[in-house]
Amino acid sequence: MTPRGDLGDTPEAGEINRRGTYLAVVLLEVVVVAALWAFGRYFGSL
Amino acid sequence: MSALDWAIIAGYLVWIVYDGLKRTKASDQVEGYFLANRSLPWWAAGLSVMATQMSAITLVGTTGQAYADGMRFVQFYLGLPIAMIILSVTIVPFFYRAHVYTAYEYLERRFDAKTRALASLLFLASRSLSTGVIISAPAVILSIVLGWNLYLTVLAIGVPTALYTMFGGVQAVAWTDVKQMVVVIAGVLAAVVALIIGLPHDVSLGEAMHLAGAVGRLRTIDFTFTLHEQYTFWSGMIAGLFLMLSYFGCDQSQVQRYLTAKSVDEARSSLMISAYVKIPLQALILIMGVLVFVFYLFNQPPMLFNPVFKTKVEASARSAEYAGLERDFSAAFTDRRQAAMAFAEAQRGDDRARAEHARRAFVASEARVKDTRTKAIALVKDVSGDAKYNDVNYVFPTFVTTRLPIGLVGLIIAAIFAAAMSASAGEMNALATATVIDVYRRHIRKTASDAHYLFVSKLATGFWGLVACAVAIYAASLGSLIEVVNRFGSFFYGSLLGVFVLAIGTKRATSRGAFWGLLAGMAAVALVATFTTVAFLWHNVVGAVVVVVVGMLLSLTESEPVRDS
Repeated sequence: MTPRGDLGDTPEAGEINRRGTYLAVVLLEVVVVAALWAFGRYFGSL
Repeated sequence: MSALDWAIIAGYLVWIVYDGLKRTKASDQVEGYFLANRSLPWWAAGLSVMATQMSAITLVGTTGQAYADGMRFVQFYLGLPIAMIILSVTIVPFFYRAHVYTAYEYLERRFDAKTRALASLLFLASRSLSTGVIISAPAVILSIVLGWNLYLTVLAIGVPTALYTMFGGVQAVAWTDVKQMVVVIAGVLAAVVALIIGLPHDVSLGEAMHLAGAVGRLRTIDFTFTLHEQYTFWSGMIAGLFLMLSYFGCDQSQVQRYLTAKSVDEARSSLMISAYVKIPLQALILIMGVLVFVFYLFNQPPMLFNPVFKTKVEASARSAEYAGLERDFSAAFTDRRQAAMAFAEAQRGDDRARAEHARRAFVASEARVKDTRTKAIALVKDVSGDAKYNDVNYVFPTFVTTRLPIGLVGLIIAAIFAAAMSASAGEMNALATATVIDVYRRHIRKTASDAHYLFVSKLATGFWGLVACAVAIYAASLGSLIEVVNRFGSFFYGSLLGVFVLAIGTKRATSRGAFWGLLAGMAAVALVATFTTVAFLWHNVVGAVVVVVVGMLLSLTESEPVRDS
């Protein structure tokens, strides 16, 4: 019942805040999905 | 194949084995052998993550799928970037700071030894079979398309991989993965360029894309919500997210890749490579399949892409029927080629009514080609008794070996080898880690010298390499085994994710809740898979949710767990 050992839940000194990177990933995904959708629509029609 | 192509493949194999074996010196301790002393730069760990995930079937199978059905498969990966962000915030720092070798080791620290043992054994059972399939699938295809002996093909992929993984450990796996990813990407780019150059002079790339789009090959994003369709926007974004969280966060073959990074931040950055690159790369591979389809609009394709089954039908009592279908197919192809040229030409003018008329004629001609091929496939199924006959995996290798110039054939066959070897090396390395850390050092010999554990680790890697080759040869003779392995994996993935959500996401969960929750999750997936037609991606959601709900309910019936300070 008792957990043992280091569970890694304490941040180490100097860890970088990556909020900007995560936002960039989300934005890129939105752009890629929109581009793929538009690509299919454009070439699927005359 | 020409001598140059053979030389390229042989050169690739020698280079990779040499490069892997030269890492042996850096793997003279267990931590170096399994975790590279946590010394790898983020980009090497990140490319290793991608190479382990991308097997030869991803390269060959999805190209064939795009040829036959279009680009819908790209939606399978839509959950991946979000999964990478969630893992970077949650699981990656927890595992890294806890200094574990395996993901399952973490479960003992948080819960108990039996939860760790169950998770680790499920991983060993599932991955030992799937490593065989990773080798078997491309080996069967290459042996048939190139006329090589199957055993030799299996051994050509499995033995070099086992050799450098056994002696060089995770360093060899990671650094050869980097080079193998370069070979794969070079092969894909070269094939795409060759396909574009191979278009008829009077057909532009835009016109070619319109041809593919007219028959649905560029239908990429489908916003329909249904639990019964595998590839939709929603199944990718929701169910795919659960699968990616589980695969990259709880599967030792992936966890071990980013645990080799220099720091938590570098481990996070390594996952960001996949977050940025995976969907565009998969889209490029699918476009390659679409371009193969366009190529075969102007150059006659074989009616059946698997020559073994073609020979079987031609030798059967129904050979005359097959010959008739071949004639119909040739005539339908000639009509389609003319219709394609007419549609491409009509696009250049301003007459929209003419273009629309030409488009309809082309769509009708494609339907006739497809209809004839469907009849041929039904005939193959009747004659061979194999109701699951499907030759899409043979489309790309057939195109490569029969249509590409000398030199490029060797490069792309080397890329198929690279994809198979990089994926199976990561698996062998992870299987050995779980065997030594979770089983041998935990239950069989708890104290021994580092040299002893290193020796056993090498033996374990060699053992799993042999098992993978044996399973690959067995799987080649039993097509249905591949389906069994995939199904077994889907029972396990979502449920394992649920256990890690209990471990990291809540302090209230107890070991009893986690253990029985895991079993309940797998049972729930088995029931859904047996009695419903819910697409397998959604099984991951079912497994994870059932584990968390059952695990928490059981935990609430017990007193709160006490943490060591």
